[in-house]
Amino acid sequence: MKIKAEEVKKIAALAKLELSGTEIEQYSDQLSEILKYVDMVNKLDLPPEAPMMAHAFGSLNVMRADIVEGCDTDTRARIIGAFAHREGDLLESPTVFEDRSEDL
Amino acid sequence: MKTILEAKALIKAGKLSHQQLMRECLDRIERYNGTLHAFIEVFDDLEAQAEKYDDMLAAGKELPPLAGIPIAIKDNILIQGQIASAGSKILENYRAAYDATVIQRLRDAGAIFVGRTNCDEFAMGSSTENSAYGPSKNPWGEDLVPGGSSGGSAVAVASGMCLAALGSDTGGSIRQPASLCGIVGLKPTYGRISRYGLIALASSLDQIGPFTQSVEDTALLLEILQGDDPRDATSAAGKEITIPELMGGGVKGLKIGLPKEYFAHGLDHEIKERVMNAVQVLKEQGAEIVEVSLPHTEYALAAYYLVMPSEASSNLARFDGIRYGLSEAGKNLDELYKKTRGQGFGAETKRRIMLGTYALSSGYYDAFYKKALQVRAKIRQDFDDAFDEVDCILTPTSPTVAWKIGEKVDDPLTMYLSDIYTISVNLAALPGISIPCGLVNDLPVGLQLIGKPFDEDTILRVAKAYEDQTEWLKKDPLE
Repeated sequence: MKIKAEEVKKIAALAKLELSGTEIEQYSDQLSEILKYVDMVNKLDLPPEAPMMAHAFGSLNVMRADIVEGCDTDTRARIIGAFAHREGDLLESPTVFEDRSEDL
Repeated sequence: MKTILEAKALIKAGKLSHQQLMRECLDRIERYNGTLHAFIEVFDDLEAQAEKYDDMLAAGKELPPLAGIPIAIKDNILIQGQIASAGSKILENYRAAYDATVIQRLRDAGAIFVGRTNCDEFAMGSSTENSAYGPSKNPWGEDLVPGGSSGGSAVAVASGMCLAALGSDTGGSIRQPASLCGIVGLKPTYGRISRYGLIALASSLDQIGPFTQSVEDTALLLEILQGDDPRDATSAAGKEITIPELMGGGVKGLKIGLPKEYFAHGLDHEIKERVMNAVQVLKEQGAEIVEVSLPHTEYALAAYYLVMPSEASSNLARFDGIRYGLSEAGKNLDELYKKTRGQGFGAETKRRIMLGTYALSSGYYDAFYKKALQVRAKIRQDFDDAFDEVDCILTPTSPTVAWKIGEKVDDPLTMYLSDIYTISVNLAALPGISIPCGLVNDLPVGLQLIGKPFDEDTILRVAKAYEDQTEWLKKDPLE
């Protein structure tokens, strides 16, 4: 199972990772080797309906009452203080949606 | 070097002050941390915090159970107001906005946090060589790895820079460094200890646990750290136990299973011999030794390296350069994400994000992720079947002793194989403890005890019975 450079680039785009040319080459080799190893799970003959274990407690929902909890002023200040960019107390980020006002 | 219980006894007898205890740790830090790099950061005002407990004692006030005990914290557990970098450049300047539940519990118990310890980036690794801040060194040999990912915590305890430390264990990250550094390390049952405030690697596998110089200290810490937490939906309600009372029971009449698959090919014969010597000691103490089989063992590492990266790739999506952490400029949002993550994450982190993204991507999900979860169910079933026959299971912790820094760093798959005896325990959500059981080439060997879910008391009881018969924990690698 060889993971080609093109495929590495596709995965990197899905994972939102910018990779250098050297990294793409390295990951192509290393991921191929690792995937060859983990493919061992397919050597075990299991029916498609065999039980899965995604979680220790059988993936049951854990319910709780829907109570709004406040955030104290100091904690709030620390969270805001960690923002990469901000305007006052507001989190600032590049535009999420492109400007399509002309289409309207 | 002292255990927590020894220090408490000396303080109670008036032979040691809290300040002296802290000074002893700080002396060891000043002497050895420059070489061993256990801590990324040592906190300020530690002696002043210790003095507070001396004053309380002088005033005749009752002290909390861990009053003034110096404890080190892995760099992926949040301490309010302190940096928590998880060994990564992407969080180099990130200060925690709140305390993890384990930190709150230790704080309430009077512990003093000495500093944050080095680890592989986002706890991804078996040697600390993936830390963005350089590797930690093993106190048994400066050119050797301490194991990982919680290597800094293991080094801090093994070299007497603190009396205990917290680590996190996703596939062996507490037990393997404990083994390589010759101390006690416990990965509790999944759900035993709240994960609130632990920077997540793989949420269905991660557990926080202690490193200590004695089994009793581990029991003491587990009792303080355990318990339901409304802030972690996977923490387990109503499972608390009072551990120290159960510790003196010995092993008479207990059935201990040796899984034949763990003692087969690939295990260093000298390590096997040390582990079998320990088995003999337990037998002489009255334990019954039974061979058991865990037939799906050979598939465990493959399943693990699908489940863990899949969960990691989802968890690490939060590091986007927007809300906290490193933020690189980009022409648009997509470029900001890609540049921030491309530059902020190290090689192993990127490798695992890519692997997880691949395993979850359309067309591969059934062949990889789904299949891995089916194998995981088989592995748990193997343990359930074995526990019908035995009270706990005994294995080596690591297939080798500590190796040379740099030896496996360019070969990810070989590095992954160093967790071969520990990962099944995480997949099956069971408790596991590593305790020292001898030396090979003057380097520590660990044995692992695996328990039934929420049955830490049995593995602690067996570990204590073995510890009482041996002197391995009394060795100071730096003397």
